[in-house]
Amino acid sequence: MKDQPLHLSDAELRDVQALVRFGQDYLKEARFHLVRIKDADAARAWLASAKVNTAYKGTKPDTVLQIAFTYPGLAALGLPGHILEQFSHEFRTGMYERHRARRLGDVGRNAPEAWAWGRGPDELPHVLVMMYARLGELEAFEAEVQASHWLQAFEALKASPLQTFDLGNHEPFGFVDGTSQPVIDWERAAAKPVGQALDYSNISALGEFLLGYRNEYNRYTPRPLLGARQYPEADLPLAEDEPGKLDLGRNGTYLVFRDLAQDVEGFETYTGKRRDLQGAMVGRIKKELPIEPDLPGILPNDDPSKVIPEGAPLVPLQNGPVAGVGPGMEDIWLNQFTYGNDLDGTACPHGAHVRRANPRTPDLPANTRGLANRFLRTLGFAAEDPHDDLVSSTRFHRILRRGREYVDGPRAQGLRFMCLNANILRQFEFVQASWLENPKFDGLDHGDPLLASRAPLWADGAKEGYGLPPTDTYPVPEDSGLSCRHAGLPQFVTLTGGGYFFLPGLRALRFIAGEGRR
Amino acid sequence: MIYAPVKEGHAEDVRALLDTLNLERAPGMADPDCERFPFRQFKTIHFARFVVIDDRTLIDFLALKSQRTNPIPSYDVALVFMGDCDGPSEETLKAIVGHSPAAETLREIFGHCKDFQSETDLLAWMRDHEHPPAASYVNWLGRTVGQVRQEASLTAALRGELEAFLAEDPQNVHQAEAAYRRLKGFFDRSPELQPAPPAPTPVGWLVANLLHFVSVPFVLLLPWLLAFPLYLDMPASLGWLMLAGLGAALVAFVYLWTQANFETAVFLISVAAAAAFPAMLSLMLCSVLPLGIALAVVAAFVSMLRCYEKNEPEIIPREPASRLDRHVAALAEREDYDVTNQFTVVGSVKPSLFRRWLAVALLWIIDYAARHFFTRGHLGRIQTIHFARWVFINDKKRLIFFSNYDGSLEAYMDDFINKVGWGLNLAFGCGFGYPRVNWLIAGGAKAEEKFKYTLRRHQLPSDVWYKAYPGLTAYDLARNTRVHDALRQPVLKSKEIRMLMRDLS
Repeated sequence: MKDQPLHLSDAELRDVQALVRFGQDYLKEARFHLVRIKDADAARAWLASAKVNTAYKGTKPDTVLQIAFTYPGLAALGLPGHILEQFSHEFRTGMYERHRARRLGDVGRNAPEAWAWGRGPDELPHVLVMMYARLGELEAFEAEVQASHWLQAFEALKASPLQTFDLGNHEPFGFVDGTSQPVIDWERAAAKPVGQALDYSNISALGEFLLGYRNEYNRYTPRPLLGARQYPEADLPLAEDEPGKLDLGRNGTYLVFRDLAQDVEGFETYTGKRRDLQGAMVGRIKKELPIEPDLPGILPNDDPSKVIPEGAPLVPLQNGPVAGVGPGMEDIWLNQFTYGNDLDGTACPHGAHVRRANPRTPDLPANTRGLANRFLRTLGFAAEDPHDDLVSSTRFHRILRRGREYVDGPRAQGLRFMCLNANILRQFEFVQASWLENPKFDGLDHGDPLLASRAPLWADGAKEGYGLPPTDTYPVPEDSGLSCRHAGLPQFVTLTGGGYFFLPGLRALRFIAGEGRR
Repeated sequence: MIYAPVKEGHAEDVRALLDTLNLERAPGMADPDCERFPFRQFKTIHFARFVVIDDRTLIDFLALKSQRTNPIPSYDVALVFMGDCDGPSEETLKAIVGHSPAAETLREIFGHCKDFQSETDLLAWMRDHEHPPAASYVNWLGRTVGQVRQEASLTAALRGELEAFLAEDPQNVHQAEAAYRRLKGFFDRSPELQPAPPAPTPVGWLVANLLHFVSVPFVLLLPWLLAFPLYLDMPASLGWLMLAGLGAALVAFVYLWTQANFETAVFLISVAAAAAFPAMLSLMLCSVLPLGIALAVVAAFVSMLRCYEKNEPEIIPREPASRLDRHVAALAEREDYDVTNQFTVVGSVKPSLFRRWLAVALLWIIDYAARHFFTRGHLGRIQTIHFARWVFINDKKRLIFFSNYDGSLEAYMDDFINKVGWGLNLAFGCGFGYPRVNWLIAGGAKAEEKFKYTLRRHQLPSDVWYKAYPGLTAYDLARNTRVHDALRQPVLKSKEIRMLMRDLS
């Protein structure tokens, strides 16, 4: 991630867990422990002594420890009901919940019943302990972290610990990982009014990824607030929006964990190892390409390498800058673009994974210009294309990805997907349900080529007397208007476990560990 | 919409009874072939639902301290049966009554209502309990259930033919013209695929609709007509001013007509003309009186509105999590099976006469706009609503809103906030418990969490919900109509051929 100017005080940054600001990519080893609490006192004692790394930027630490909790975990640690009930509905009711699972596409092979962990409140870990270290140093670090209280306090889930494996910045299908991340507005510049942004921006309000700060709606996301008088001993920050209250959420956020098994062999077989087809499914270039002189679009001409790097978008780069992208040449190559000039999807299919996950749309329809045009567009008129305005306001649906790959042999590899967001429903769940899983995204008839469940449309079209298209197709539009249709897309990715976690700020962590609680 | 109070203590019974009309695997989703009420056989019904109306938020009135007498209003639990259908609702009701199992089921259901006796005439009773909507929106005016199904079949058949064409030669994917000729031939040769021409719209309806439309511009422009005698002896400078205004209006009119539609253009120009009239009258009479009066009227209304907007308390109580979780689970259980979802909310109008009349006026405007401006696939910027209705009940003290929308509820609410927050505030700003609205359109829904929370709390689970064309979104319907229209043309330009191919790909 880029270095960003920071206007949060050092004290605040020392209260934020490191994962919010750093991916710790240089720490090549990582293991995630899923544990249930055997002995709450011992667990609190361990938590109180845990040396959790923070977002404060000093010298790069050799090891990193991060801690997150599930809802049953917070309850097991004795957090009282009046605090627990203030956590978000999604966090409280869990990823495994039946109706949520249906909405997210966690059905069929993805269904919670088949998960290795997290199937229900009793199979959910209480605590997620993430440990990162330099190559070869993880075991020693684990031993150190688990030295006191650990065995007495916790009992590991069968699936624990979750191993990871460094694939050198690539994910198992062979694409560069983490090419596009939102840039957090640590400076907390004023938010744009809702519905008014004419241009896509890659900058997200701090409150989208940390509780206790203003979000993209310029509001504070609901989170647990405590009466200051009720907890006179608690060392917690005051809520910015309700100064009489202590903010247990501030500097914390929600962490979404999904274990995704990737069928690499199936992906290579189906695509016949064709890089162009794989690229069309993902929406990014799989291998670097030489620059052709007649390539449309803008090329950063002072780039000496003369190749389009792998991971570059399928659409031409945009002429002007995109807020929050650059100034580094690598970032410009990867992210200075929107799909505003590709309404027919001939450069990058509408259904491509990265286009669905981040459609890069502003608040108003693409290419809105001038007062009169803006007025008509606001009323829904003057559309340029039937696809116009089907997907808008991407900025309310961004997530910060922090996943790690794993390889347990050639047939068991995948991604331990993790993302951070302040509002699980509006951010992660929206992206997963409305954009990736929903076959009707952007006027299409199929789900995400990589992540969707392939569940057929609800109706039985034959019974209705009209045909309904299968959802396991992938059309790649050609200039003619016709598409190459790739039918019978198998499910390449299977969900094998997951849960919603709360990644608290450090003061909140100590409070959860019992400090300042009566 | 048929609305009738349920007998004391019968709410659970009627819910259980309604549940027997549903599919076993999906709560709240009507079994279209249910023997006791075969929805699919009623060919004019697009959407239908039964909902038990039981407002769990009335207790919020406790927070209203000024409410001295009888602080919590109480209403009977009621049953709603409503549908969105082609033609007059009377026809559909007759068809249902004429189907004896369905009529029997209805009698059994309505038997739980207070004033329904075993000897009651079902049709007359339903007519008596019909509540006309204060506002209603139809995604595509005039598109019938039959047309939707036929166009869907046509699209599916054309897609099959196109697939066969593409399978013949890998190079065919670049041959849009050849593909079009193939499809056109296929279409012309297959009369069974060609949707039947729609039944002609009744002349009476056309005339009534036209008069309804013309009434507003007529009233708005009337002052200009009545002032005609004044034009004869006004100074030439004013004449030029008027001419310039007329010219500007004409340019604006043509722009709006081409970019939006004729009705919208006429209306907007009429509004501008009406707004300009007091100033012009003042100039013609060399008196500030007309302008003064107009400004005074506007100022009086605005100050009154602002007074209400600022002083009304914003009452959004936090519910205990366990209660809210149960409520949300009951709603979620009935969502996200089909690509379309149902939405029913009930709420009270803010307790003042000003608010009640403002709500009536605003909904009238929304109805007018929906009926004349937004008749082709979008309500404002929202393209995912099939049908929406606002219906007053209980002497306009309460309002029910129904809609059928594509996608998940979260997407629907986000669309609302980001795309038509202003319109939402107009429509619901008079609602008790709605986030504070300023100047009729600002604020309100922009308080995202409060707005979503309020809507979710006021939402009711639909006990039975039927959709005549599962698997199809409003966008699909529009695309299928585009495809049908394109194939009916004798020739297409290459740009149109490309569009057709995109739609079929």
